[in-house]
Amino acid sequence: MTGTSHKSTQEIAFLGLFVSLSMILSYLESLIPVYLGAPGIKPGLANLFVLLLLMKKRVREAVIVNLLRIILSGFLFGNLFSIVYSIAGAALSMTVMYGMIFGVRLHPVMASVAGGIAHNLAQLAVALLILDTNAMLYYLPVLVLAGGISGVFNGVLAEFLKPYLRGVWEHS
Amino acid sequence: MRRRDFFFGAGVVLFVVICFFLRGLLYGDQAVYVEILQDGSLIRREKLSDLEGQELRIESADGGFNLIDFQEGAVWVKEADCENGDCIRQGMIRRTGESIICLPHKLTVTIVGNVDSADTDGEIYDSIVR
Repeated sequence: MTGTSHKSTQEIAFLGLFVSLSMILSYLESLIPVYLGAPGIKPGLANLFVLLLLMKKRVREAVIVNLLRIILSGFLFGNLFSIVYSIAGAALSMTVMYGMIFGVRLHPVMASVAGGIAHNLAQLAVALLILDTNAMLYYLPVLVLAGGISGVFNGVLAEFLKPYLRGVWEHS
Repeated sequence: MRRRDFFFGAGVVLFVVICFFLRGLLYGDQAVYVEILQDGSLIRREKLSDLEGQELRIESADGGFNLIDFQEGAVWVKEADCENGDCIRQGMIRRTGESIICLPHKLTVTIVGNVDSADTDGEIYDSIVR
Protein backbone atom coordinates (compact mmCIF):
# COMPACT_ATOMS: atom_id res chain seq x y z
CA MET A 1 0.00 0.00 0.00
CA THR A 2 1.44 3.38 -0.93
CA GLY A 3 0.89 6.70 0.80
CA THR A 4 -1.66 7.83 -1.74
CA SER A 5 -4.03 4.88 -1.53
CA HIS A 6 -6.88 4.51 0.91
CA LYS A 7 -5.98 4.49 4.55
CA SER A 8 -6.99 1.74 6.85
CA THR A 9 -9.28 2.62 9.74
CA GLN A 10 -6.48 1.66 12.08
CA GLU A 11 -4.11 4.06 10.39
CA ILE A 12 -6.58 6.93 10.60
CA ALA A 13 -7.17 6.17 14.27
CA PHE A 14 -3.43 6.17 14.95
CA LEU A 15 -2.92 9.47 13.15
CA GLY A 16 -5.70 11.03 15.24
CA LEU A 17 -4.07 9.62 18.35
CA PHE A 18 -0.72 11.06 17.29
CA VAL A 19 -2.19 14.53 16.82
CA SER A 20 -3.94 14.51 20.18
CA LEU A 21 -0.98 13.02 22.06
CA SER A 22 1.44 15.51 20.57
CA MET A 23 -0.95 18.36 21.45
CA ILE A 24 -1.08 17.21 25.06
CA LEU A 25 2.71 16.94 25.17
CA SER A 26 3.09 20.43 23.68
CA TYR A 27 0.72 21.77 26.30
CA LEU A 28 2.48 20.02 29.18
CA GLU A 29 5.82 21.36 27.98
CA SER A 30 4.46 24.90 27.90
CA LEU A 31 3.89 24.53 31.65
CA ILE A 32 7.51 23.71 32.48
CA PRO A 33 8.40 26.27 35.14
CA VAL A 34 12.17 25.86 35.27
CA TYR A 35 14.45 28.04 33.24
CA LEU A 36 16.81 25.70 31.40
CA GLY A 37 19.50 28.14 30.27
CA ALA A 38 17.75 29.87 27.39
CA PRO A 39 14.20 30.89 26.56
CA GLY A 40 12.15 28.13 25.03
CA ILE A 41 14.16 25.07 25.94
CA LYS A 42 11.92 22.06 26.27
CA PRO A 43 12.05 18.33 25.58
CA GLY A 44 10.07 18.61 22.34
CA LEU A 45 8.39 15.28 22.92
CA ALA A 46 5.75 15.98 20.30
CA ASN A 47 8.46 15.36 17.76
CA LEU A 48 8.39 11.72 18.77
CA PHE A 49 5.39 11.03 16.56
CA VAL A 50 6.81 12.94 13.63
CA LEU A 51 9.99 10.91 13.91
CA LEU A 52 8.04 7.63 14.06
CA LEU A 53 6.15 8.55 10.89
CA LEU A 54 9.32 9.67 9.11
CA MET A 55 11.05 6.42 10.04
CA LYS A 56 8.19 4.61 8.32
CA LYS A 57 8.65 6.96 5.34
CA ARG A 58 5.23 8.46 5.86
CA VAL A 59 6.25 12.02 4.98
CA ARG A 60 2.80 13.34 4.14
CA GLU A 61 1.37 11.98 7.37
CA ALA A 62 4.27 13.42 9.36
CA VAL A 63 3.75 16.88 7.86
CA ILE A 64 0.00 16.79 8.47
CA VAL A 65 0.28 15.58 12.07
CA ASN A 66 2.92 18.17 12.87
CA LEU A 67 1.07 21.02 11.17
CA LEU A 68 -2.20 20.16 12.90
CA ARG A 69 -0.43 19.96 16.22
CA ILE A 70 1.23 23.34 15.74
CA ILE A 71 -1.85 25.17 14.53
CA LEU A 72 -4.23 23.64 17.07
CA SER A 73 -2.01 24.03 20.11
CA GLY A 74 -0.87 27.41 18.80
CA PHE A 75 -4.43 28.73 18.83
CA LEU A 76 -5.28 27.01 22.09
CA PHE A 77 -2.22 27.73 24.22
CA GLY A 78 0.00 30.06 22.22
CA ASN A 79 -0.20 33.02 19.90
CA LEU A 80 0.66 33.91 16.35
CA PHE A 81 4.34 34.25 17.20
CA SER A 82 4.50 30.80 18.68
CA ILE A 83 2.95 29.36 15.51
CA VAL A 84 5.53 31.10 13.31
CA TYR A 85 8.37 29.87 15.51
CA SER A 86 7.00 26.35 15.61
CA ILE A 87 6.46 26.12 11.87
CA ALA A 88 10.00 27.34 11.17
CA GLY A 89 11.45 24.80 13.58
CA ALA A 90 9.25 21.96 12.36
CA ALA A 91 9.90 22.59 8.66
CA LEU A 92 13.67 22.57 9.02
CA SER A 93 13.82 19.71 11.50
CA MET A 94 11.56 17.47 9.40
CA THR A 95 13.57 18.19 6.26
CA VAL A 96 16.84 17.50 8.05
CA MET A 97 15.58 14.32 9.71
CA TYR A 98 14.23 12.96 6.45
CA GLY A 99 17.50 13.71 4.69
CA MET A 100 19.52 12.15 7.49
CA ILE A 101 17.48 8.95 7.60
CA PHE A 102 17.06 8.31 3.88
CA GLY A 103 19.83 10.38 2.30
CA VAL A 104 22.81 10.20 4.63
CA ARG A 105 21.44 6.96 6.10
CA LEU A 106 22.20 7.83 9.68
CA HIS A 107 20.83 5.88 12.59
CA PRO A 108 17.36 7.27 13.52
CA VAL A 109 18.66 8.41 16.91
CA MET A 110 21.38 10.46 15.20
CA ALA A 111 18.87 11.77 12.67
CA SER A 112 16.74 12.84 15.61
CA VAL A 113 19.73 14.65 17.12
CA ALA A 114 20.22 16.50 13.84
CA GLY A 115 16.51 17.31 13.77
CA GLY A 116 16.49 18.66 17.31
CA ILE A 117 19.45 20.92 16.59
CA ALA A 118 17.92 22.06 13.28
CA HIS A 119 14.67 22.86 15.07
CA ASN A 120 16.38 25.11 17.58
CA LEU A 121 18.60 26.78 14.99
CA ALA A 122 15.57 27.60 12.82
CA GLN A 123 13.78 29.12 15.80
CA LEU A 124 16.88 31.09 16.70
CA ALA A 125 17.06 32.37 13.12
CA VAL A 126 13.44 33.54 13.29
CA ALA A 127 14.11 35.19 16.65
CA LEU A 128 17.11 37.00 15.17
CA LEU A 129 14.98 38.22 12.26
CA ILE A 130 12.06 39.36 14.42
CA LEU A 131 14.06 40.92 17.24
CA ASP A 132 16.58 42.39 14.82
CA THR A 133 19.39 42.04 17.34
CA ASN A 134 22.19 39.55 17.54
CA ALA A 135 21.84 39.41 21.32
CA MET A 136 19.98 36.11 20.96
CA LEU A 137 23.13 34.58 19.48
CA TYR A 138 24.32 34.35 23.06
CA TYR A 139 21.97 31.39 23.46
CA LEU A 140 23.21 29.49 20.41
CA PRO A 141 25.49 27.02 22.22
CA VAL A 142 22.84 26.19 24.81
CA LEU A 143 20.21 25.80 22.10
CA VAL A 144 22.39 23.47 20.04
CA LEU A 145 23.19 21.38 23.11
CA ALA A 146 19.55 21.26 24.21
CA GLY A 147 18.39 20.34 20.70
CA GLY A 148 20.89 17.49 20.61
CA ILE A 149 19.90 16.15 24.01
CA SER A 150 16.19 16.26 23.25
CA GLY A 151 17.02 14.60 19.93
CA VAL A 152 18.69 11.67 21.68
CA PHE A 153 15.73 11.41 24.01
CA ASN A 154 13.13 11.41 21.24
CA GLY A 155 15.18 9.11 19.03
CA VAL A 156 15.57 6.46 21.72
CA LEU A 157 11.86 6.69 22.58
CA ALA A 158 10.89 6.37 18.92
CA GLU A 159 13.14 3.33 18.48
CA PHE A 160 11.49 1.83 21.52
CA LEU A 161 7.96 2.50 20.28
CA LYS A 162 8.54 1.51 16.67
CA PRO A 163 7.91 -2.25 17.06
CA TYR A 164 4.48 -1.57 18.57
CA LEU A 165 3.36 0.10 15.34
CA ARG A 166 4.28 -2.83 13.16
CA GLY A 167 0.62 -3.67 12.49
CA VAL A 168 -0.17 -0.14 11.35
CA TRP A 169 2.68 0.82 9.07
CA GLU A 170 4.19 -2.43 7.90
CA HIS A 171 6.15 -1.26 4.92
CA SER A 172 9.61 0.25 4.89
CA MET B 1 25.13 2.38 15.27
CA ARG B 2 27.69 2.45 12.52
CA ARG B 3 30.80 4.45 11.91
CA ARG B 4 29.11 7.39 10.30
CA ASP B 5 26.76 7.60 13.28
CA PHE B 6 29.73 7.75 15.57
CA PHE B 7 31.39 10.45 13.49
CA PHE B 8 28.21 12.45 13.34
CA GLY B 9 27.80 12.25 17.11
CA ALA B 10 31.41 13.23 17.68
CA GLY B 11 30.97 16.12 15.24
CA VAL B 12 27.95 17.39 17.14
CA VAL B 13 29.80 17.25 20.46
CA LEU B 14 32.76 19.10 18.94
CA PHE B 15 30.44 21.72 17.43
CA VAL B 16 28.79 22.35 20.80
CA VAL B 17 32.17 22.70 22.50
CA ILE B 18 33.35 25.18 19.85
CA CYS B 19 30.11 27.16 20.18
CA PHE B 20 30.53 27.46 23.94
CA PHE B 21 34.16 28.40 23.50
CA LEU B 22 33.33 31.13 20.96
CA ARG B 23 30.59 32.43 23.19
CA GLY B 24 33.05 32.64 26.05
CA LEU B 25 35.32 34.75 23.83
CA LEU B 26 32.56 37.00 22.52
CA TYR B 27 30.28 37.45 25.51
CA GLY B 28 32.19 36.19 28.54
CA ASP B 29 33.47 39.52 29.76
CA GLN B 30 30.43 41.60 28.99
CA ALA B 31 29.38 41.86 32.59
CA VAL B 32 26.98 44.69 32.16
CA TYR B 33 24.19 44.42 34.68
CA VAL B 34 23.96 43.36 38.27
CA GLU B 35 20.72 41.87 39.47
CA ILE B 36 19.98 41.65 43.15
CA LEU B 37 17.17 39.35 44.18
CA GLN B 38 15.73 39.19 47.66
CA ASP B 39 13.42 36.33 48.57
CA GLY B 40 13.05 35.52 44.88
CA SER B 41 12.04 38.96 43.65
CA LEU B 42 14.21 41.42 41.80
CA ILE B 43 14.93 44.42 44.00
CA ARG B 44 17.79 46.09 42.14
CA ARG B 45 18.97 45.92 38.55
CA GLU B 46 21.84 48.27 37.90
CA LYS B 47 24.49 48.83 35.31
CA LEU B 48 27.72 47.56 36.76
CA SER B 49 29.59 50.58 35.43
CA ASP B 50 27.18 52.95 37.24
CA LEU B 51 27.96 51.42 40.60
CA GLU B 52 31.71 51.18 40.17
CA GLY B 53 33.54 52.18 43.34
CA GLN B 54 30.32 52.25 45.35
CA GLU B 55 28.94 50.12 48.12
CA LEU B 56 25.38 49.00 48.47
CA ARG B 57 23.85 48.02 51.78
CA ILE B 58 20.92 45.63 51.40
CA GLU B 59 18.76 45.20 54.47
CA SER B 60 16.96 41.93 54.86
CA ALA B 61 13.54 41.34 56.39
CA ASP B 62 14.95 39.92 59.64
CA GLY B 63 17.03 43.02 60.30
CA GLY B 64 20.26 41.66 58.87
CA PHE B 65 22.31 43.23 56.09
CA ASN B 66 24.77 42.52 53.30
CA LEU B 67 27.24 45.13 52.20
CA ILE B 68 27.97 44.70 48.50
CA ASP B 69 31.10 46.28 47.13
CA PHE B 70 31.28 47.17 43.43
CA GLN B 71 34.67 47.38 41.84
CA GLU B 72 35.86 47.69 38.28
CA GLY B 73 34.09 44.83 36.57
CA ALA B 74 33.68 42.81 39.74
CA VAL B 75 31.32 42.46 42.66
CA TRP B 76 31.67 40.94 46.09
CA VAL B 77 29.99 40.93 49.46
CA LYS B 78 32.30 42.86 51.72
CA GLU B 79 30.42 42.55 54.94
CA ALA B 80 27.39 40.72 56.28
CA ASP B 81 25.95 39.88 59.66
CA CYS B 82 24.90 36.35 58.85
CA GLU B 83 26.31 33.65 61.13
CA ASN B 84 28.32 31.73 58.54
CA GLY B 85 29.61 34.48 56.26
CA ASP B 86 29.36 32.21 53.22
CA CYS B 87 28.49 35.11 50.95
CA ILE B 88 31.75 36.84 51.81
CA ARG B 89 33.74 33.69 51.28
CA GLN B 90 32.24 33.23 47.79
CA GLY B 91 34.52 36.05 46.77
CA MET B 92 34.40 38.20 43.67
CA ILE B 93 32.24 37.55 40.67
CA ARG B 94 32.99 39.17 37.34
CA ARG B 95 31.62 37.01 34.52
CA THR B 96 28.14 36.88 33.12
CA GLY B 97 26.06 34.24 34.83
CA GLU B 98 28.08 34.15 38.04
CA SER B 99 26.29 34.81 41.27
CA ILE B 100 26.73 35.16 44.98
CA ILE B 101 24.13 33.54 47.17
CA CYS B 102 23.37 34.39 50.76
CA LEU B 103 20.99 31.79 52.14
CA PRO B 104 20.29 33.29 55.56
CA HIS B 105 19.12 36.55 53.98
CA LYS B 106 17.63 34.91 50.88
CA LEU B 107 19.74 37.21 48.74
CA THR B 108 21.34 36.57 45.38
CA VAL B 109 23.63 38.88 43.44
CA THR B 110 23.99 37.92 39.78
CA ILE B 111 25.90 39.38 36.89
CA VAL B 112 23.87 39.34 33.70
CA GLY B 113 25.00 40.30 30.22
CA ASN B 114 23.37 42.96 28.10
CA VAL B 115 21.58 40.13 26.34
CA ASP B 116 18.76 40.40 28.79
CA SER B 117 18.15 44.05 28.07
CA ALA B 118 16.17 42.97 25.00
CA ASP B 119 13.76 41.41 27.46
CA THR B 120 11.48 44.43 27.34
CA ASP B 121 9.54 42.94 24.46
CA GLY B 122 7.81 40.42 26.61
CA GLU B 123 5.40 38.97 24.14
CA ILE B 124 8.00 37.81 21.69
CA TYR B 125 9.97 36.10 24.42
CA ASP B 126 6.86 34.52 25.86
CA SER B 127 6.02 32.96 22.59
CA ILE B 128 9.41 31.28 22.34
CA VAL B 129 8.92 29.86 25.79
CA ARG B 130 5.74 28.07 24.80
